[in-house]
Amino acid sequence: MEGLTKHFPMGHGEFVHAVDDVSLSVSAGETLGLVGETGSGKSTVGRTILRLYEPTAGKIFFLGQEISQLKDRALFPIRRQMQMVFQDPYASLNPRMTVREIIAEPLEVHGLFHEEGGGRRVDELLEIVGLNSEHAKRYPHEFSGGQRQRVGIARALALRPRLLVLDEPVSALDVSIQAQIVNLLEQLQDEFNLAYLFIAHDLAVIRHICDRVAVMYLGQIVETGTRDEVYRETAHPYTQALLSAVPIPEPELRDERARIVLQGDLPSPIHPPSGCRFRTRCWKADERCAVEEPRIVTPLGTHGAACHYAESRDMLARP
Amino acid sequence: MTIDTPPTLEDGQAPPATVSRTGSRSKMRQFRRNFGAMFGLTVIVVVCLMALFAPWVAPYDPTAQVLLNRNRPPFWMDGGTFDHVLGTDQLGRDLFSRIVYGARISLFVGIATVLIQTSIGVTVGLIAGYRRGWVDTLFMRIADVWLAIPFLVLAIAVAVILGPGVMNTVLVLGLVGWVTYARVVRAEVLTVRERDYVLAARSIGTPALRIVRQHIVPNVMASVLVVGTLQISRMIIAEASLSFLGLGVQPPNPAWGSMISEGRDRLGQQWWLATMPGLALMLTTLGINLLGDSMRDILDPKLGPKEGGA
Repeated sequence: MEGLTKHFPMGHGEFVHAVDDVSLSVSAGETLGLVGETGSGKSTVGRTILRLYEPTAGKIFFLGQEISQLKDRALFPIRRQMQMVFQDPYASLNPRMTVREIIAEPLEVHGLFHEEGGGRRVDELLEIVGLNSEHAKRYPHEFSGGQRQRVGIARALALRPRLLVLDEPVSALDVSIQAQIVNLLEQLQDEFNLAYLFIAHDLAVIRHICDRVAVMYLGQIVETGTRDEVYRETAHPYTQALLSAVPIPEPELRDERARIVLQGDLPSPIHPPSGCRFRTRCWKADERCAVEEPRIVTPLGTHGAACHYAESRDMLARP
Repeated sequence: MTIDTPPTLEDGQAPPATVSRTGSRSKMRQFRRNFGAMFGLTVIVVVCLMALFAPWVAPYDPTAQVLLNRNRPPFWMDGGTFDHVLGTDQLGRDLFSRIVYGARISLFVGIATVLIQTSIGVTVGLIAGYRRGWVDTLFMRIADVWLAIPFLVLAIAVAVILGPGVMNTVLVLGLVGWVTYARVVRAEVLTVRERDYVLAARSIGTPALRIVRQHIVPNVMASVLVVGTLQISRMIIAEASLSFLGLGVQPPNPAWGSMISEGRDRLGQQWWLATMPGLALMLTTLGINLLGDSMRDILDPKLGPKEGGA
């Protein structure tokens, strides 16, 4: 497999700075986790990559080809290669279509239904995601949340994509079901060498499934690195605060851990703070942060944080 | 949280076989068990048959005047006979025969106008709601302007240009009423098009036309069905007001609406002249509405046989 890479800095212009100047890349077989609070722009990033939203600026590369400016017709063959799994399995399946129709739709749209073996391909996809062909006749409302999510995954896999954008695929599910879906996703990745962009706010899930992690705050990436770098040598104050909020299973250790509680809410993305966007809630902020926007610098390897005063801390260490 | 549960099929197992099957046969059974649907269907079938076979059902010619038999009451009142079951009007025409023949015109006007309205309104609503932007603004401003034109002025204008008559009545009513559908459909489309399954279809690369047909229309039709069934009866009555002005169905041809408005003047003396066609209209409307309501429930795959009941 050739490595598929995407690069896209983009800015969302004068209005809502939903996503500003974000650069990411994912390779085949790799999972990139995108973490951040509600409203930090994670989903917007995912949807812009798939060209469901038009990027205001910046470039998107897919398999070496720039796709950010392609018109619908030129984009059509590329859409096969990248698919999306949605957060809410109740909203992402058309209630008036049977599971068979839902899964067959991508095949029909791309004129591959007969070529791929028609109904047998649908059955095969159902089996791949752990359902069986008997389910094909049913309507989405007859399924549980976890089963619906499996149907959503089967639809995304129908065209044999290379990249899946997983937009909080497990956060709407019960914890016990989350584990099953996460395991299914990992299994599918191994089997089909898929690239995942895994969007979530659950740090534990991200830590489990991702190879690399990018942390978003107010439309910008504040820290990137491999999973262990981000979790063990956390450099950005925001990431440190996030990780300090992860529950610890042992109650006796809870009081001893440094807990960083952030003050205030996410500032408005319409008028983001000058300089460093996190400075309004950061305990390290000084005048420099208001004037000078910190850039992610990665002098050695992959790990980088957008902070003037970054220093590594192991937030998961037991005291 | 640790995630090391083996990938079981626990949530992937088939629901028990007793859970509703949504095949067409179970739809039929569901329909037959639904009292409202069956009642509505019966009424409509009876009215339709009556209209279709009017010459055989009606005992008299609806326009034949027998002046000796003027103003007969229905059979159960003093002076009523079984010769004229529902009595006669001021010209001695048999009321029952007129109602039977009137069903022809009234049903035709009701259904044909609603079909015209729906096809214009739904198309406009779909385009405006799906395209949004200037197309939406344009269509909705046209709809506003359309609403601002008084219905009667338009009707009179058309009648003057094309002349009165049933077909022209249908045309006028059809052209006037589409705005309601357009607005309802547009509003629904605006919410449906933002659902994740539409987004999923777009990410697949599904062409707009197919998205509209597969994902939007089926999820919008429920409200169209409701508006449509309500409109049929309103249109039958609207035809009456046109006839009253001499623009609609021309006398002596019977139509329910015009019979009601003619009989209104004589409510004090011959109350049955307005009441009987009124009852026919009410029963038909009720039937259509009941059928429409239960069709909507039955066509919704989310409602199983139990919830779908009357």
